[in-house]
Amino acid sequence: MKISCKINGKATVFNTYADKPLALLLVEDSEITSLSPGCGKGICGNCVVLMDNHPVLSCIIPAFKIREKEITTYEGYAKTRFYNDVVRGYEEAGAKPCSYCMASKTLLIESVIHENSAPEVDDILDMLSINKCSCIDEKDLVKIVETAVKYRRRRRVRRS
Amino acid sequence: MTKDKDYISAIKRPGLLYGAIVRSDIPSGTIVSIDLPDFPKDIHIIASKDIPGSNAVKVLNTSLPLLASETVTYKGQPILAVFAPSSEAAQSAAGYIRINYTDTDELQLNFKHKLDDPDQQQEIQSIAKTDIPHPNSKADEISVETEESPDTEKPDVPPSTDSVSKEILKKVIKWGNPDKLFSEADSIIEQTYITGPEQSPLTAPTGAMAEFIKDKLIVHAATQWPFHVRNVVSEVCGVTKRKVTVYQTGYHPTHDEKLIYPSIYGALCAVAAMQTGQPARLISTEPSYRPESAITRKTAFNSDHEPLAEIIDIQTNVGAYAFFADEMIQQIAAGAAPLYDIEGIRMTIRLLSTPTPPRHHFRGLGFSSAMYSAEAHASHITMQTQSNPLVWRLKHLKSSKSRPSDQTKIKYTLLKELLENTAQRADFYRKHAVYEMQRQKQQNFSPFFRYARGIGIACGYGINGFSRAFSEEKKHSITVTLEENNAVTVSLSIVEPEVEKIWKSIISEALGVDASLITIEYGDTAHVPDTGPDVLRREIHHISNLIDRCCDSIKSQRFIEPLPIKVKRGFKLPADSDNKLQLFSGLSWGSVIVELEIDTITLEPIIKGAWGSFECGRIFRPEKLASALTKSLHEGINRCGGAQIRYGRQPLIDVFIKEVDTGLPTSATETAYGLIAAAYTAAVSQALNSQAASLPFGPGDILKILEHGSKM
Amino acid sequence: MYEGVKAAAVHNPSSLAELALLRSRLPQALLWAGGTAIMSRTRLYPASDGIDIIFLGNVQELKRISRSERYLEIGSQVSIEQILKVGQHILHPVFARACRESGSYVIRSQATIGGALGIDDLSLNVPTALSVLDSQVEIRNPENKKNSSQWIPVHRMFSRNRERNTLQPAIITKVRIQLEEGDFEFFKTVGEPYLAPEEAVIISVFAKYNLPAISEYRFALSFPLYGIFRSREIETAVSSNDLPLDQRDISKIIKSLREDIQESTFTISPLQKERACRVFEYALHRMNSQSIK
Repeated sequence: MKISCKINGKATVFNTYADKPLALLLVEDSEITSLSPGCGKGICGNCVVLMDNHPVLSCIIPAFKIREKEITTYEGYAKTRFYNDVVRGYEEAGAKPCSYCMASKTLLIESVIHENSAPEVDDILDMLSINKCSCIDEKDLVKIVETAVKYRRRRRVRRS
Repeated sequence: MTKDKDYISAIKRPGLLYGAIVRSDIPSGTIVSIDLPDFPKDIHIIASKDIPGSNAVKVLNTSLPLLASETVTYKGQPILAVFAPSSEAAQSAAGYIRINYTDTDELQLNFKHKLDDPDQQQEIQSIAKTDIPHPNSKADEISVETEESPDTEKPDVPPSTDSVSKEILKKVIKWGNPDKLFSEADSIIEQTYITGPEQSPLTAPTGAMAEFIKDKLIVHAATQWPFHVRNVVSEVCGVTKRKVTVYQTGYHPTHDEKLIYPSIYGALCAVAAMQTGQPARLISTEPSYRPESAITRKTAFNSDHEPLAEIIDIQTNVGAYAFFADEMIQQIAAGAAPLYDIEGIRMTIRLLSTPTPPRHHFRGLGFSSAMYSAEAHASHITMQTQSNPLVWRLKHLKSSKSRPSDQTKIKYTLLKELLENTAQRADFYRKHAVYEMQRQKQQNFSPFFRYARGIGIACGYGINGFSRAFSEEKKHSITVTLEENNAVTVSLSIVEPEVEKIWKSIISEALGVDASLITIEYGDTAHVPDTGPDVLRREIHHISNLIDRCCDSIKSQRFIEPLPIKVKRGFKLPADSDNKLQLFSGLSWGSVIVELEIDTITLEPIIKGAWGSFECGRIFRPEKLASALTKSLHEGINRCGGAQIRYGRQPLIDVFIKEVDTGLPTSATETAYGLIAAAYTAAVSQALNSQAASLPFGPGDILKILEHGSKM
Repeated sequence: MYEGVKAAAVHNPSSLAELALLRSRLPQALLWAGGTAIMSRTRLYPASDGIDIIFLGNVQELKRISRSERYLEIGSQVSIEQILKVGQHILHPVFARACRESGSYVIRSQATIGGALGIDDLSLNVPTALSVLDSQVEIRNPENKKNSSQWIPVHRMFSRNRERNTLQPAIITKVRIQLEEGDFEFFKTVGEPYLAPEEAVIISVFAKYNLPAISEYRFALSFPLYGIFRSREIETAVSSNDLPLDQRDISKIIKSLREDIQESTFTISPLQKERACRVFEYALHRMNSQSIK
């Protein structure tokens, strides 16, 4: 089956099995290197990508669902200006995810900011709870997101 | 060289073949035949007969088959490898293969010391005795007997499948006259502590990729031990070691599962690459697995309730093949030795093999399970004797002379400080008194009266790496080279990208070289020193010390010797007369308190708080260390069997670090990880008014206690 | 004989009519809603079945939410997260809580209400909550010659033995929930229904009272691998008492519940049985304490 989509802004056509998980598609059939899917069952939460700017677990998204969608992985996101807001969140909180879950946690943090301009603690933890790596303390995670939100607001104000 | 962030799944090549493994689905039996359909030419099958070199994966003096040929010794044992142009084709082809066995009855594993079956005893086969001198024994005080079963003299022969479990190694340590002391005892307290089996599905993928370039085998592997991959690939493929180069990819060794298995995958990929001329990759997400261990402790007391002697029986299931068996015995002996003063001890340690997968190490070779039993037993004693566990421990911590199994010298003053510090921060005395009152009132465990709390304490130490008795010659070493252009190159074989900045600043300060001119190289067996299994020392501290020593040496040669100046330094213990008998160096002492509440509806223990105080060596990044300790405590708690800690329900975790720079590497994270289980067990026991004696200990175990009535 | 990888064929209807036609032609096809359960449990990739898949996500009629004075109607392809967002002021607390506890935001955004009801081998939060509300499910059965739809109460999706009735080959198109106010609503999951279904229990309770009398009491206990347990006798036993319930009455009711569960065809574990009784008792105590506030 031929499936057209965009991967990090680049038009891509996959010739693949319709029910192949997106995680495997990205790992095996594309140039993406940031993904390290673990369980393959939607449990560990370490395969997060953005699909039309919404976070998804790529191991439970079949190929047929990505037709005409925009997929953003960590590599693509790291080239955007929004990435800097999250990086500053890491710096000011003095904590950042380990190399194993950095990609997924960063995209989840971006999703919190994107979905909600004034997230509560519950909203932050609800979003991040899908990723089971415990390398960052809850308090630090909230601080990272709140800092990133602060910088995102400033960016929006500057733009407007 | 592989970038530090590249995982094995990121390593791609044109024409890559994808691998899948066909595994045994029975625990034990004989392969009668293998049904292979007519596969197309682009599907490549590797069986044991196709191995060009040795069909064996050697780990020091143990060996297991790379691919099972006639006999299956555990469920999940690799039998065939399939390589195909796509992962789907490989998996699909593997699904078409049928293995036919005899002896397909599911074996009843009789390794059982469960709480509901306390009387069942393990059958032990009689074995031939072979004396192996204990390097640290004091002949007049301690007697140590180590016995090996005949099979271990032939490492290539798998354990017999005649019996379900087979004893492969036994060690008896005796000090004083425990039998006499038991005969004079006024009372005896006995309990069996069981850990495992445990299986964790949340592991990062393990895998390898191999390619054959200009008659050299290049292997990329998600491995903690790249030189082992090199050695196995060399022997399996029948090529010299010089023709094999292994690059270490990024990995996440959650439970030390990336020690041996990457070598298996690397070897299979290498054979495929050699035979097809195409690069080959195999990735697996097998859950990490640790089989069970049972430790029975019997303590004799005098009429004043003072401990006199202890008899400890330890049986550890190592799976079908026992890696690092001798070292495992050492670590178990060290962990099991009680910290309290006694006049005599007899400790019997048996390693048993069963038709289960070879165990992953879950951070250490049995030390933390053994220490769990020691500290859980100390808490059990205090509950039986109605003593305050902290006061009792402080009173009975041993004097320096009486720790026969490993000669570990207790730092009494330090441990007292750590215990009291933890107790103060956790408000231990008050809470323990309140929960003791509740326990003694034996409140109804009802959904209406929801009060079942406990607080537990544990103290001990963590070890770092292998013991002195470990005979492997190679020790962790690094090389530092001051080049002609004043650049500096550091070669080491552990991947620690997050620490690079610190190492560069150490070198920059020592040699007056700009940090931008310093390169840290790692992960490539052609360029970095072979450290042997010492790679298990995860502590970055000692690498930093090695860097210091290399820089000192370069400084002394600089402007005298021509450039480049290359210096290699290996880790060795300082010549310290106090330490020479200590089996383990660089201990990290600590104390942990856990407070929990048992939810009387879900029957889950819910952690309210965990407090830890730890001795650490030289600290480079205090906030990172605190975070690592917190993570260790989280991981330890999640393995205990209660409600899982996740975002949204993290308890209070409070960590105190005491920096004590002895020049030795330490591992406070191992201390935290090891002690949390004992503190959890003590807290659950208090909440339930009944001894919890197995790990994991969760809702099902609590229900059994409620049904049978509490036993305090 | 080696037949290679059998690729699945995916069909993408964009309207209800197209879907119905496809379904009548392919009654054994796998209906794919959000796909969270299929991808994580049911079907491992690469599957060797080469089956047909009918993806429901593009059928616009299944994505609508409408509200009248009496009912809230939700299309089967509306995601759980969308339900929470759109219905935040009108959802029953028991249903809202069931939806929130279905999983994290990422999972809720992908899982659909139709998918939650349609999982054959697992009874989770949504069906448990909907069982106690006066809710109905609209199904279209392609085997029905007139191809018309019918409404069935959610609680009747389970047999008298409380086992799941398979809906094959019917399609769930809508869920209708009556907008009635309850005086006491309670929802709780015990354990991890998705990760450890053999130990988990889910309870939902909906009650109305006119103090001190209990006018209506409905409860559902879900044992994820087996189905949903309900008992008219137990409900009657509760509602025949006045609030606050006496401890003796509560004990009698719990005893009956234990016996009833024991006699049911569910082969649940002792832990599940104990948890079910405890959480049921806890719900009664909560109702008590709310009634005396």
